[in-house]
Amino acid sequence: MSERKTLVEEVGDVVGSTRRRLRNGTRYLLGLDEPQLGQSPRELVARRDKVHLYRYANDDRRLAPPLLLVMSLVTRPTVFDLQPGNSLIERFCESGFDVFMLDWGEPGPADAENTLETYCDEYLPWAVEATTDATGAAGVTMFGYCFGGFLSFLSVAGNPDMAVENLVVLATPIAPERGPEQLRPGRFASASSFDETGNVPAEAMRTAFITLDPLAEVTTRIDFWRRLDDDDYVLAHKVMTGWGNHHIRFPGATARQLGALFADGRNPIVDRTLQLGGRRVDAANITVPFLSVVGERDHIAPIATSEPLLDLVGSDDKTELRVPAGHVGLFVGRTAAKQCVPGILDWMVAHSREA
Amino acid sequence: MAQDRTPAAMLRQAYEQAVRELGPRLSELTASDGFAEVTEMALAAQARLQQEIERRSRRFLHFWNLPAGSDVTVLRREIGELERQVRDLTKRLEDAARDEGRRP
Repeated sequence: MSERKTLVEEVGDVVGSTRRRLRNGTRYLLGLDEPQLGQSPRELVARRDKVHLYRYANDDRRLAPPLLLVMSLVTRPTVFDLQPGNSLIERFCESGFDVFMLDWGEPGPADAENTLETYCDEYLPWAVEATTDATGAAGVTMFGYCFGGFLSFLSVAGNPDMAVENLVVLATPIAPERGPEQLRPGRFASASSFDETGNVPAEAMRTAFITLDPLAEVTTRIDFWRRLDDDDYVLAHKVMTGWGNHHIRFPGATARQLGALFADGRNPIVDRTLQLGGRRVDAANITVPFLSVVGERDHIAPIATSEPLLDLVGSDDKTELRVPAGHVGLFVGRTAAKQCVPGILDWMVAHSREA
Repeated sequence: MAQDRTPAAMLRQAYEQAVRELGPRLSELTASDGFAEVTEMALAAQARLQQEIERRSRRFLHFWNLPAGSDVTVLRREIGELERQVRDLTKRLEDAARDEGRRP
């Protein structure tokens, strides 16, 4: 009797699985049910050129200073707010922070001449000022991810008077010459690297990331077809590819500038010889509490590329947090929610006060 | 623990084994200077080919008094240049206004 029941169950399982595979496969091929990313409610606080500053709705803003999230120039900032229940911004809001996010926008011909100075000495100080104006706060906690951390780091180092109370950087490759060859600045600085807008095309950026581990792309596709009957997996896959496959153009002048700065394996940031806007920018000028978060399995910005950060800053209060995660897994996914994000939040809450 | 001997599982194991052996070699290859040079050469060749196609199609379209893709590119660049000048002027005005406000 029980054997017969098992057989029925097995048949039922196969039918159910096949039905889900057909449904999910058809929807995927037709491009239906694409998940909406970045759903947390927000308002536009300020805009300058293509740069938008958003403030996230939160009825429980109980911590100060406000938090300013700075994304990389390579991908869209939706990674901070992928889906309800899988959103760093949601976690920050729940913890009581007043969250602002800087969206650089997609560079066009007018942005092709943007240099590091444009971002570090114009846009970031402008965003800090707009944030403090909107909140009445004396300063902000600046939170930069990947190349956004790189820009935040240089901006605070070059503008020590800027109203930044804490600096948090995640997966920040301050020493790219120690990282993967495929992402070295010189690779994007040759004349053939630029498109008709004068920027590095998004496809070139995506290809560079794929070549880090060419078979990972194949494995991801195989896993997807293998687990096509798993609705949760299909959704997670769509969410991650929805963000991860949409790179944006990288500003041409910044690519050329980085290529020149890091030519022949040199690193003027580590050597403390960096000149931006005609003045020396030394990370020793960073004296605010500083947190660097690095992923032990990060193959895009390996630990070695972030290692010099702590020695460079002049802060007395400086911490490196190593977590068992990859580049995106630092704050995306279930493991991040349990293992990585709590450590980051603990530090940030400890360096905040009642609003 | 019994090993899964179904064809799908065996195929998967074979693939994983191949990834373990091939993956690092492929990553090493794409990291090499040679790969970067070949990629650059391919991109340059692609750009030359595209320029040639554009040149021919432009001739044809201009003959019929129609705009070509390259005309749009030129226009986009000029608009970009104008946008940059507007940004620069805006910034100068803001700086001037800030300096004015600071004067006693």
